[in-house]
Amino acid sequence: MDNKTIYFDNMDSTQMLEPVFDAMKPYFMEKFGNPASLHQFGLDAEDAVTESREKIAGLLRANPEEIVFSGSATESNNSAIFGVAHEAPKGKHHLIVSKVEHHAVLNVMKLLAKKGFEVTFLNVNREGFVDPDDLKKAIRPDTLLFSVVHGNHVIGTVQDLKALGGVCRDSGVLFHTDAAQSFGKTPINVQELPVDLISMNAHKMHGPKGVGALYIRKGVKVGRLMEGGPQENNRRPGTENVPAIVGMAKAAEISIENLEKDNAYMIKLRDRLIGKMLEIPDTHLNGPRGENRMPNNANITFLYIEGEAILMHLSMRGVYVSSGSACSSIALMPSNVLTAIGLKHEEAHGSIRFSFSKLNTLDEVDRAVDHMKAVAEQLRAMSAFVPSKHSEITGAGQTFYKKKKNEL
Amino acid sequence: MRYSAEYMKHFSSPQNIGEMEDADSTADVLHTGGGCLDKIRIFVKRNGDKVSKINYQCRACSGTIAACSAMSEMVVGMSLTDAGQFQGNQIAEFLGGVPDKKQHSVDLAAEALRNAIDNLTETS
Repeated sequence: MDNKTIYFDNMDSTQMLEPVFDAMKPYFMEKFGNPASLHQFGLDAEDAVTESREKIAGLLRANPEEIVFSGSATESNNSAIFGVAHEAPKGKHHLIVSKVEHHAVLNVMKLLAKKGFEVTFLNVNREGFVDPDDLKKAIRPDTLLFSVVHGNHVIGTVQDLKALGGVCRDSGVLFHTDAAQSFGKTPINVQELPVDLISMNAHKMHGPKGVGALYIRKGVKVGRLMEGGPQENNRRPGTENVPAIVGMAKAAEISIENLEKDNAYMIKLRDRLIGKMLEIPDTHLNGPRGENRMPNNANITFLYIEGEAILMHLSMRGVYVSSGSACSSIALMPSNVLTAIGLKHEEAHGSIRFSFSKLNTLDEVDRAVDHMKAVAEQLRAMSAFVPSKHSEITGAGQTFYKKKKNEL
Repeated sequence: MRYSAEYMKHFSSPQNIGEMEDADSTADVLHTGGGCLDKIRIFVKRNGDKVSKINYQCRACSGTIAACSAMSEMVVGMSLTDAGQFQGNQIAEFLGGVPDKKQHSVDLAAEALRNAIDNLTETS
């Protein structure tokens, strides 16, 4: 990246760290064996996977046999929820999930709803938190599983796993959390947290893409999604992606060793950006402030302008972000997270997520704010729909209303 | 599909933006298909039976901004009859193609024009 580039899309993916790449390299061209092979190449590869599993387990205070490597957090989410549903005891056909989930969880739940499970979609408050009392009220005798995203990928809300897990534990309900964003940034200790299943990945913490992991608490029955060989303790067939697994373990190790220092730094970036962005007129912050917000997330709504257009302008200026705008998606639907916290569609359209890593700088924050000010000004200047000129338009479908000039 | 150079040119430096004091007709359109809420206000000036000038304002994504800008250049000099039948695909072609997710943009811009022309016909 050149020094003009400002990459603030670290919740989408992060730049790999040099030590992670170095750790992976031998497993491409030297120790390239299949961990299932019985010869020395196989044993070397198997050792690498075993050591990586022990590292990840150690970081979670779990047992190595409770860790299953996968291809992504999406796969881990699918494995956890479908897998538990597959093994559901008789009479347990109710699932609970929050409305602020990633599609890798929401769409699994929607599919299970079509296949005979009953699913309760839990509301969240304006900051995106699930209220443990709401969870308690939603639990029924036939409830099998509750799933919630730990660190929210859009608005950064960090759920209280202890409180939510406690409710589940008291009721004999399994508890899954999608920690795709939070693993490596928030301490997760399965000895203390009443969580049964945790989905993780590597590429949000400077590791490689194409690898993830699922923690499955000992004793929890999870059916496997695919058939094949006995890899991953019979839980996930297919030859392990050895270099990526090694990279994931290295990235996790570095992240957790430096967690406090890196989080403090990212919080400084985050809070400076939030403070300065909110100086732009007609803006508001989405998600909570303070310690229950992911250290690397800021999500701001810029009223009267459209997020995709903001994103494109920022991109032309070398600032890379993401948007909750409908026009950023093929389906033309705004982010489910932003609408779940009560934003009107128009507010969701004008929202931008700025997400940081430890590789960003305060200078980048200041420059991004300057760029954003200019872009907001430019786009608002072409809008007929800022409040002073605002004209309500209503319609259904792709439609319109028209007025003669003298009525406008 | 990548955005064409023409698309990026019209998005980054949109032409003919702003109100038109002496417009002969105007129309507002809102896209509510799916969750998209792109809005356009279009202003049309005629000279006899031809379009002489188009201006617009919008709260919209890059595709709709580019589509409005391209259209504001394309239809100057066009007969009112042709402008009244103007279609989004004509803008898409002018822009060197648009990704599927931006089809709504070219369709909305064309709809704005057709409605302003319709309004013009009704009031003339």
